[in-house]
Amino acid sequence: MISTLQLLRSDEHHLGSAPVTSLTGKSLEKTLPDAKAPGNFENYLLDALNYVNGKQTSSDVIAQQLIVDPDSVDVHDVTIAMAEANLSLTMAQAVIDRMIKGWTEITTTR
Amino acid sequence: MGLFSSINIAATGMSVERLRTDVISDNIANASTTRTADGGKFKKSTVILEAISGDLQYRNPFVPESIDGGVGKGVRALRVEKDTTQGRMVYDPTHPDAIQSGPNAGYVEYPNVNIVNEMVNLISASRAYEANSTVIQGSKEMFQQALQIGK
Repeated sequence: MISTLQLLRSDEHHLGSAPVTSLTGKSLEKTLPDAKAPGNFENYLLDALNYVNGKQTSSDVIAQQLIVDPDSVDVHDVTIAMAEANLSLTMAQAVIDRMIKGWTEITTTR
Repeated sequence: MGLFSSINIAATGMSVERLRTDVISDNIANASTTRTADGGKFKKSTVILEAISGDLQYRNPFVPESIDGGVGKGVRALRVEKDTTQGRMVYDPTHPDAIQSGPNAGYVEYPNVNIVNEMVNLISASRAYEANSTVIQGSKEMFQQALQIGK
């Protein structure tokens, strides 16, 4: 059910801080009380995506720092942060591809 | 062994090599300096490096020798030290910084910087930087190879 989804916004770079509502105007709050239970695959995936997102924003921050205050940061720190963000995103992409592949294999079972 | 630990360790090495390059650059720039702001002579600087050890852990509680930090966490610059040996003495009584009295009267003390040594250290630092960069490339390629397995 789409109404059980909740957008995780631990980073203020994303969409401000206003509460997110669905297209129908209803608040997109979690309706399942056990959805936060540990070991839940959804939480695992969202935590992993949060980690990837953290890498992206930290590479963003350090790149901005290179521009506004070049003496305070080494060039290799910036490129390494970018490489880590890139690798994290590639891995997230690989995991999501496998998930979707599994899903389509199950739904197209004949 | 984290996801990016080898990359982060190599990054500490790269930062240290940058600092060594800064110090070498300062030494070369001051190779003919005859006075400093605090009144003394300019002395060559050297970076003292220290390994960052991993977390201490007992592999075996009965054998004290087994206290092992495991894989280290890289390198850091402990401090920048001055080499206090005497510098090059050049006889030049007309120089404003010439020694006025004593057995060395008429001599000017130039810094104890040897340009040739500094250039060799510079090559060493830039090659070490390159080596750390190659480690990062290798680690990145391993990561990407591992992702290829899932394809």
